[in-house]
Amino acid sequence: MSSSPVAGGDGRLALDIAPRPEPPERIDPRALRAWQVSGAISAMTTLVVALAVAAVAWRLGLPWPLACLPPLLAIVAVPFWVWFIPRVRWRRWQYAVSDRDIELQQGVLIVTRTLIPMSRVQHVDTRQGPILRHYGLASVAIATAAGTKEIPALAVEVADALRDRIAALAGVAEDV
Amino acid sequence: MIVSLRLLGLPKMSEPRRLHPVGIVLRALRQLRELAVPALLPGLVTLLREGFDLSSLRAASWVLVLPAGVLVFSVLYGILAWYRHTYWVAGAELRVEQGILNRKQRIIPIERIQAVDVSQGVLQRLLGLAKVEIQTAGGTAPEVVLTAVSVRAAEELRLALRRPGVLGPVEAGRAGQEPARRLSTQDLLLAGATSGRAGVALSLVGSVMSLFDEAIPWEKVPLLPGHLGGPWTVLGIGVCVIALAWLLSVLGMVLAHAGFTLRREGETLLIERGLLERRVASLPVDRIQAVRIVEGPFRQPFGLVELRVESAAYGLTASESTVLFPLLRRREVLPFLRAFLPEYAVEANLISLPARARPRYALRTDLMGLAMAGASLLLWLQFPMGFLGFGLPLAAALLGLWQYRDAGWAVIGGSLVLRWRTLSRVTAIVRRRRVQMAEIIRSPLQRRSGLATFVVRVTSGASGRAFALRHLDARDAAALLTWIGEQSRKVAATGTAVSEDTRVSWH
Repeated sequence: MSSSPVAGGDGRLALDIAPRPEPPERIDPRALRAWQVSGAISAMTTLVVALAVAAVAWRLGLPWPLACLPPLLAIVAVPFWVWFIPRVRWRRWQYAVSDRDIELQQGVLIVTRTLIPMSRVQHVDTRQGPILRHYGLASVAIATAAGTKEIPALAVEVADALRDRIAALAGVAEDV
Repeated sequence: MIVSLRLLGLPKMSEPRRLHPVGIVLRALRQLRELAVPALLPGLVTLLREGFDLSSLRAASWVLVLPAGVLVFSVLYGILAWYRHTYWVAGAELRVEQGILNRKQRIIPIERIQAVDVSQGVLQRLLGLAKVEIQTAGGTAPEVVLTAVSVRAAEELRLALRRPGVLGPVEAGRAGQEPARRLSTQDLLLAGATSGRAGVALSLVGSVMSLFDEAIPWEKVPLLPGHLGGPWTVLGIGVCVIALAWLLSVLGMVLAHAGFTLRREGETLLIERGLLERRVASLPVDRIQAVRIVEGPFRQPFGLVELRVESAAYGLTASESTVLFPLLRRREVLPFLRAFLPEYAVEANLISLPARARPRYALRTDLMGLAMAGASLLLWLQFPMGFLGFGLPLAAALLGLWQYRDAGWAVIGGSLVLRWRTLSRVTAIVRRRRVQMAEIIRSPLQRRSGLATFVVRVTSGASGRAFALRHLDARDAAALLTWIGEQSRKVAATGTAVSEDTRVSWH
């Protein structure tokens, strides 16, 4: 290993390859509603817990501003949970599946792009919780030897087709 | 030692064989240990209740008969279990049969085997025995454990489990040409002295000391009149503690790595090491996922490095098992890799990070950094000498600049080289076709300054390992993503094993 790094990286492309464009596909618009519902459920649960904590704190004789703090925080968090986060999350979610690889882009504050070479896919599942089922949605989970990634909330038919396509493509490619 | 045995006049590996008879004892002892509590508890209870009077029949039965029965049972169990436990190699498979009531046969294709480890504890060395552990991918525990086989049988099994179609040195008669390297005693001590594990040992010694500190009334100890807490005493104790920790770390290195020998037999790497407990790990070359060159803070100034490998067989267990060679000179690394792992012998001029990444390294904006800033502010406000607390963020900033200076990356042929520093400087060499997943991670601050964190994941142990480079140019990161994606076109198109262009490019 040479220990003298080449100066550079500023203002020019160091690697003579075009940067990979963002993946074009978006997930199903109904995902937004599904996430809002699950966000609302989480918010309600948290609110109930926070109220219980507040009640206990009140009984233990804590000053009321302190006792009211948990439910207040929970109430402040509600619009984020129900409105803001699902929206940003949906806007960020992009993916692409080609013959060669799978690419996902996700994140609310911190945005992560993940590239999985098709030959590394070990197996693919579709998954569906009660909320997703209600909206006719399913997620596709892609497993590799280094972990599993999920494309959430696609229309069931789209998810099934994608799962079959990935399975076929991955089966063609070389085993680990 | 074990590996130097020759295959001469041994019975066929295709016949079912048993462990060494010592296996009976081991099995019986294990059974005894499991049954110890139920065997002894009734007796103890009886003794406590009725006193130590063995004349009464009931007491005698609980105190003596039950343990005796358990002992006999354990021995019988050990014999039966040993008798039923057989292993053999049939064609390209290892078969293991075991179980007394529920018999199970396990079949492991040889090509699925990730590593074969042969180890000998002190007692086993005296008896000429060895333990064989066979690892397959993705497990947390070895797939097969043979607790006691003769050294000869272990060696024979190891040879039988090598990749089919590869001539080993014995068959090919070219043992002299196989690369081998032994760690010299001088280098062993040097590795121990510079390992930096003294820090770990130090915290251990320190925490023991602090325990004593509260328990011992220092002011009453007559040997330490008055000036305990004087600067010289504190300094003296400090020096002693550090020296002790340092000696411990040297000792640990000697125990683990004495006689470290790496050799390549065909497509297998053999790593033999250990002072009291000898271990031979054999690692198929095509199971290696990445190579890491680690330059610890106490080694880098002397141009010393440690080589590590990632393999699908290890990772969750002792990190020791991934040491490819404990100590090399920096200039030796390239010839060393050329001899043992030519695929990884790449020489690169690394591309350093853009200047705008520098402040991002110097100022930590994560929780750790905020906590540190908060703590030092608090110290400053609370204590007269509290401004000294600002030394911590200052040191962190200097470390950050150091990390920035050393960070870099390069693409050579089919290999990606990433270099970063946490405290040690690490250079990772990853083959593109070994990459399981690549990621670009961007925080809001990184998005604003056109930077990104690039991560590649490879298989290692059960969960995989990630190599990350922080704050490279976002477009370079996206180009790297293109580069990673390019390999799979070939694979998917041909549908065959990857035979990617790049041997090595050196200059």
